[in-house]
Amino acid sequence: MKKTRKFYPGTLGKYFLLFILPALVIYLIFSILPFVFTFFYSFTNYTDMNPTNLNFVGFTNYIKVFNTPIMRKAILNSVIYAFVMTGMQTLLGLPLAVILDKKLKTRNVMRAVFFFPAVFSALIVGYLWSYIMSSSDYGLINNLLHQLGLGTVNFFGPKNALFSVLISQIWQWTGWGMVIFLANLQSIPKDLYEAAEIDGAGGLKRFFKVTLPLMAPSVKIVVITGLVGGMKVFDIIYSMTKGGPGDATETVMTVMMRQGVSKGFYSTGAAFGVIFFIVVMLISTLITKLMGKWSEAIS
Amino acid sequence: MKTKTLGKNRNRRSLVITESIMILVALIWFVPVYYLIVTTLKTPQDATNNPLGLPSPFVFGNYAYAWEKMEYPRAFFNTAFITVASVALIIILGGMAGYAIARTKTKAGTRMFLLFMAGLVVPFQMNIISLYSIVKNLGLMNSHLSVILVNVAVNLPQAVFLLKEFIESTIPLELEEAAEIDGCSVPGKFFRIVFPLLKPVIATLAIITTLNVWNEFMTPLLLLQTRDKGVILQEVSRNIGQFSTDWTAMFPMMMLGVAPLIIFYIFMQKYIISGVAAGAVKG
Amino acid sequence: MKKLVSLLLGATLMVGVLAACGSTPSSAPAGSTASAKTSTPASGDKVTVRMTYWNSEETMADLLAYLETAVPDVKVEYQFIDNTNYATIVDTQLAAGEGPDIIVEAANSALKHARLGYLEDVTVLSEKFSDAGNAIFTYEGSVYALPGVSWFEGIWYNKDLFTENNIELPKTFDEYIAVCKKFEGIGIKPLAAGLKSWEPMLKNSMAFVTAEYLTAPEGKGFGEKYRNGETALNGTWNTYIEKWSEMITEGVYTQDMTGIDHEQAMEEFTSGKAAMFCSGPWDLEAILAKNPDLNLDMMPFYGTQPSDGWMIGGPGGGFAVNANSKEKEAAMKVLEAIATPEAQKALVANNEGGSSYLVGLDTGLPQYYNGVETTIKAGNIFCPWDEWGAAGGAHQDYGVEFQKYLMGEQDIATTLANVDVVVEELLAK
Repeated sequence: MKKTRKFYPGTLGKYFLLFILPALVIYLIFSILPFVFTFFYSFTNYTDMNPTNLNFVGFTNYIKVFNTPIMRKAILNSVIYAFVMTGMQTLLGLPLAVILDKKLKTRNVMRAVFFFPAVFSALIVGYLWSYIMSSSDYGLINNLLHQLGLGTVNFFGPKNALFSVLISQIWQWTGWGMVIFLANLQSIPKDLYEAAEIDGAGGLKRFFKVTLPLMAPSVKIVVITGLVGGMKVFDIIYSMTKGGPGDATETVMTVMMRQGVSKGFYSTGAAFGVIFFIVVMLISTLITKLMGKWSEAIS
Repeated sequence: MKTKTLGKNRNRRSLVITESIMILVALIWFVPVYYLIVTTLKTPQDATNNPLGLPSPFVFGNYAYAWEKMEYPRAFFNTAFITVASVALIIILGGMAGYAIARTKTKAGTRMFLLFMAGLVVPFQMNIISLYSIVKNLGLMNSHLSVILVNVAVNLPQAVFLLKEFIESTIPLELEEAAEIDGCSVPGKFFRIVFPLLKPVIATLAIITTLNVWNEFMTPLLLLQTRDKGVILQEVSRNIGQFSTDWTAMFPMMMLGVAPLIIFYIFMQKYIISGVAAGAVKG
Repeated sequence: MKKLVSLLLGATLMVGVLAACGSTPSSAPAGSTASAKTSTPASGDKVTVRMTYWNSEETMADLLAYLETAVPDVKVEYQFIDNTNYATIVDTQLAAGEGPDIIVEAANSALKHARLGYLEDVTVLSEKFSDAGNAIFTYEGSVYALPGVSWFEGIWYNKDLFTENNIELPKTFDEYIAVCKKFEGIGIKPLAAGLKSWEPMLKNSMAFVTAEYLTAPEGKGFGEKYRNGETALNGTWNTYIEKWSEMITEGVYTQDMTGIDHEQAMEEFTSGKAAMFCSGPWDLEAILAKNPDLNLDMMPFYGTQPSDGWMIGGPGGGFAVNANSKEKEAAMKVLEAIATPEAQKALVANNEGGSSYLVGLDTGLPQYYNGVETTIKAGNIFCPWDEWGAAGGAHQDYGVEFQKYLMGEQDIATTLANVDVVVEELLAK
């Protein structure tokens, strides 16, 4: 495989524009335009008490964001959440996909079982896992512990609540990662495997030498959407802990939604969003670059 | 020769072991879902006293009650219409844009890609106030079209990203060149050659965007105000209310809410697997 | 680069064109912007008004049925929006000059919307209701919403567990702690509480401060002073909270309870594992569904001195009319109909335990509330944060700060000071 891949810059000619325009128009109106408004609001004194007489206030809102006391905790929680979530989704989802790509008799049923949790909304999953992890005697896990004569474990204490939420999310989204990895595995030509087998490469070696490099596109997708989505985590926190107990599970989005929307500090919320956007953009650009280097290195 | 059959036997044995372990893991994975399902078939007392056991007696009335309360058929058709239209648009428009970007290695192409990637990063919830006034000014308030367009805008970045990555890495340029020599135009190349080869990815994308759109709550809540236009999740929320604690009444509504998704996944799974054939042809 | 610029320009132009299309009223299909406000002359001159509320339609069923006969030329379309999204959605719509014709308002949002001129003055109609109901919806001397039926939170208790174990009902806070100790001694959880939520400790501690201070002569004006920025929690509430914190030091509230939901706590109570559970009439149905044989009654909260007891509560959501409504007249007609004994009875019928603020109407109390009858008769229902005006929303922060206190992350002074900071911020808006 020499590097003779030819790219024809702009081979599509006028079709480049034609193909992109329909998507772009909808995207600009309903996604970018609202963001532009938000950007504008972030420099004004827009609140629920003052929705019409907007004045420019410079960077006041941005300073306020940095002075919000729970900000540091919220950022730290979001980062921990994003990295643990993405890591687990890849580390569990990838082997799962590889195994369920083998000729197992029950693989279709098993794929469905592992993917199943992804169909539920955050609301259901929140209820379900609150019940499973409850420290009341009815909590599934604690009930089991009590029967074994052990003491109560509080899954929603100040130190471990975030990880309890993470467990529910790993349960829910590992199957989702698996499906993406499977789609990628399906497109790997089988003769590559056979070639590796003739070379005498064993299971693990084959996985690292043959499978993993070819899985670059799906790993890239899962890692980037996982990190970005993880930084933005909101729904499940809301349905499971509401950021509590205390501020144990506050994330950037829960703080932003409460300050910027529920409490009516719209412009501060907007500044919050702009900062957050820049930070996540930087992280994801960095990751994209790293991933690009990685896929170059292994091919 | 001998070693080879030995290897095959060992292979088969390891497959059986793998399968047994996986079945065990799958069973554990399934416990929460099992609990959800049995609860829907119980009386409230039974659910409290005997949470994990099988229902005694089996109660199907919970579902009948949920069906009626949610005005299920109407809510279902609204949700299905919004979902099908949104997902179709996301895949076709996202595919076209993803293809154009994948095959245009100019600055314009890269910039366009970054523009779409930005949408992945914007937390959509923070823009709802301006989104509302845009929809209002376009005269689309309380219409399904508004929800569809917002869904498309929110999900396009992911679709463009996913399809661009797969087109770049799995569709050989040589195939397209061959088609070009045969006199295929750009749209012809895309719809007749590239699109069919993307089947497994498109099936995957269809599944994940369907999940997103079906379970999206904030957009319909904000933009659809009359009950005749409402979606399933609005009905679930309407009936659960703020203080409800009756799980046996609540879970059936949630199950009815996602049942179509489960059926859809089982149906789509076939297409992901059929991708094996497509991949083989390509190789 | 040039290409990109021209492309973006083109696209933005299109946005502009599209947006312009929308804002010229003639091009929009008639009525499509005004959701449910179009009068449909075809169906017999009926005018449709939209009403939003965070309570499910069932809690309004009888009232809606009554309105249909009482105001035959108006169709009331009920829209439920869940509590967590209610304020956001309604604020967004009102800010865009739209919104429901009849808005059910919480105390702090009613004041906010009144100040912004979103609401019609309903002072004349409000004269039919008692001052206790109108007070929290009054802004600069005018009333902007008609009070809904009252809500209150007390302590549900399992009568059998009290009689079987020969435990007397408490009459003071100290007796209450003693009762809890006794239950603990015989292996029964005294109070089931879902402390994963910030609500239980908020209401429990505020009930104590209400009994000890807020209704005593020295504390009567606290709410007003607080919303005017003339006083703070830290420095005034400390001694009371200190005393109340026996709930934690005596082990009634434990750190493990932060892993329990409201629903799960209720199950502990209905199954007889716990003797008491703090909640209100809205949970009655669910409690009885989980255990129909439960011998149930309610008791109030107490301060250190013997009294009729206190409960946290006040007027439920108030009915207000959107000042920008295109069907203002019809909406006002509906409000007139709501201010009648028949409508109020219908409202109470779906909200058992609640009572109407309409002057001269006594709807009585169903069973299960024997233990709080004297409390209600004495008018000892009070919701401290309803008096905080624009800072009313800070009650949630109060509950969250108390969770941190429970988990030993901060002391009482810090807890109260943190709430003061939030209140100050909200008042400065």
